[in-house]
Amino acid sequence: MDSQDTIISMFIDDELSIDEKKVFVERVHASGGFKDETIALLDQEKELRAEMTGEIPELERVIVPVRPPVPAILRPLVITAAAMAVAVLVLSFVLVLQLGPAGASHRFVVYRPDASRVDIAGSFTGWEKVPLRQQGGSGYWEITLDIPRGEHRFTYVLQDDTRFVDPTVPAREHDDFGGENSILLAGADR
Amino acid sequence: METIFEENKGRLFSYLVRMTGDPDVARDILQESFTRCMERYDDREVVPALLFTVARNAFIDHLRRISRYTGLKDDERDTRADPEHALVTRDRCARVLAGLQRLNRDERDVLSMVVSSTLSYAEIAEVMCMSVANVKVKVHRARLKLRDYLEE
Repeated sequence: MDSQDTIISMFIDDELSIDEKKVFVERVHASGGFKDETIALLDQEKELRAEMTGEIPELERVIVPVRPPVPAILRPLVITAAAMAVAVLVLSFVLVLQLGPAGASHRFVVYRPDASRVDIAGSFTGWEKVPLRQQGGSGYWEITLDIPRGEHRFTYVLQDDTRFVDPTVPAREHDDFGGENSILLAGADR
Repeated sequence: METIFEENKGRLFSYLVRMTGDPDVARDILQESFTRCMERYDDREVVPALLFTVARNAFIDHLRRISRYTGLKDDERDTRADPEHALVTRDRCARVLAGLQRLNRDERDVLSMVVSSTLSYAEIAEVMCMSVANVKVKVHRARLKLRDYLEE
């Protein structure tokens, strides 16, 4: 495959910049073979994008537990209970600080078939790199770590020190060095 | 959550049908994806790229379950039986679907996501943990291979 021919797919998928559109039109005019290939792939695309699935299925409802609304008459009680809960939480937190934070086991999995090494570094490793294990030839790398409950930042690091965020974790933030970290809430009820 | 899933349900289902070649299996994986989204994510977190990430992971888990039972990896499955059936039935869509199953998984994945979703190459690159340049090459290579299969 001529690497320049990817421009046909980029045309089909509306991915061309203005300059690339100009190049594309010039190539269509300059080469009959290029034009024929584009037309053939456009015809194929119509079939590829045709509805081939029949009826889209109805989904079964998923019951996610929600708390029932509290009647107005009970709200003062709820506020009192909440205040007590906060007090207990603060006390627990103090105890936890004294006794050491409760750990939560978390499995990190990432798909990098092209990597020869993948490390993880985060607030729970003191930003030291810890290597993930390769899962056979599947392209997956994984590690299970005990991490303290709470909010953590982390990033994956490749063999050449290239960093990348966890694509399955939507919460992210920029760090002070121009990079990006994933944010993980350990011990949350998910 | 249900609204955004409902809006993208058709696209997710098309993607999963193209990946599995089987609407019944795709239906099960779609339901699993919906359940995972409802259980794990807040409404404000959910964007189409996340929905496709969840569906893709559910599909990969499905492949792992299959290989545990059959000992076959995805690329080792016999996917040539279907095109013959499709020829008999003269169903062009079935042939395209069967042709997709003959692509290797990365190529099938990237092409299925491109044609099923409204995601850009950059968003797909992020979902699939690869560079945008790699997406460009894989999607075009997949189209050329598919054309060869359909011409056989």
